[in-house]
Amino acid sequence: MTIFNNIGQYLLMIKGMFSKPENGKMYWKEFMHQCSEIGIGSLGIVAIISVFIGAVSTIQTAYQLVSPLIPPSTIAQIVRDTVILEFAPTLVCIVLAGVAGSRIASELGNMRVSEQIDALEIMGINTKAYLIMPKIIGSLLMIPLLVVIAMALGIWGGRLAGSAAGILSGSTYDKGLLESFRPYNVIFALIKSYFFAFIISSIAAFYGYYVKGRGIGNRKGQYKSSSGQLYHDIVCGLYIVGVVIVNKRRALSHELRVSHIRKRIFFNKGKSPRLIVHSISHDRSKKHTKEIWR
Amino acid sequence: MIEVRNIQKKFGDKIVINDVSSVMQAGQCNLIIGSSGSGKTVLMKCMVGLFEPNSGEILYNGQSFTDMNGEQRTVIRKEIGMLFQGSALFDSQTVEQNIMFPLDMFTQDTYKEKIKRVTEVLARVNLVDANKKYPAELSGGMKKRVALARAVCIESQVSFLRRAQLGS
Repeated sequence: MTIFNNIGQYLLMIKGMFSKPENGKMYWKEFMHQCSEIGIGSLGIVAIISVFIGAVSTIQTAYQLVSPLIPPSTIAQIVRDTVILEFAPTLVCIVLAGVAGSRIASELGNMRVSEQIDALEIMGINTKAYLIMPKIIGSLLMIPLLVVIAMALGIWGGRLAGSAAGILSGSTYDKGLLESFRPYNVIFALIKSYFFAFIISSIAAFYGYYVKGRGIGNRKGQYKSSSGQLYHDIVCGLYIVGVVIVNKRRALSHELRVSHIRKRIFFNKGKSPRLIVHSISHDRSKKHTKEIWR
Repeated sequence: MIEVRNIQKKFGDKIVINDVSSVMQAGQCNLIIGSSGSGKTVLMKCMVGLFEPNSGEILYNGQSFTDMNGEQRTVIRKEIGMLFQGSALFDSQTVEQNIMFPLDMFTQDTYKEKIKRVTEVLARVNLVDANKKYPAELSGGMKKRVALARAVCIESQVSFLRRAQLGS
């Protein structure tokens, strides 16, 4: 029952945030403060991790790709896609769950146990709107920005490590970066980071806002916050990975069909089909491909 | 006038206050006295809406506070000042910013007017030179006086003072 209570309380907290601000200027000031705390406060650790991830990806990919048939520029492609799709949004958000999430939880938890939230309530301030809303909106703005910075730094870190270790030259790396680049990957990573940003900030705020006890209890709240976020991130991540796998499978099946047709063209001495009719029955039980050759 | 009618509050199975009634007239100073754990703070928190009573009613000038929605309660709360046992000062703000906070939030006064008001209330609690200090730099009694200055700076109609003499 506790889980249902928590979910209900969480949803009520989110609902309680939406009210008319008592003083717009004060809310704006708090929002800017949170942007600075979450964005600038986490920039250092995000930068270090991103450069390191990019560098390690380049070195490990080069270590695995031993075939002389694979051009070195492929390393850059792999690093680019890995960093953009997975490392920058997912790993950076897990780090931020610890850095920004625990900061939010401890700030609110400390305010709760020292009765500062009660004092604000007595003044007639909607504490959910004044304390939680700026944190969530600040996270929604700053975390995707941090993810974009992480992407750039990760790719740059890969280039740096590639050149320094003599794996591939900077120009080859740059060439690889531009090969078969899909801008949609960046959008997809940003969608993921928005989800993570909301989860990180709202769950941390929830555990901090409703924390009970002092001292050890408060620390438990912070621990619950970061570990709770991690579980939610994993669930959310699995869902998004599921979507990616489905998309990839679709793309793969399309590629298989294309390669199949290429083979047929090869065996038909360069003749390409004039028309391909690929039909699937309504209940998906029967598939039929008809190729009309010249 | 604040009227408390047959208030009962329990946490789990433990009844902390049971069937408490009282009338607090305007212009009077009322005291709630009891041994440790007798429910003084719980009663006070019920009166300001921080706890919801299990039964009974609280009336502010004849209006039922317990039946009010959030917005209606906010209107009443703007007329309440409360001094907490632990002072509840904002750690990251100076004494001046702490006292100025309700003025910033609810008034359209200029900075000069707000500073004038802050200086006035600090003089009333005998803390003239503590404007730029942080709560961590103050003693327990000084914190209490700053919290008192914050509670009275907005000229509230009702002041709830919890252990106001503690640390002074």
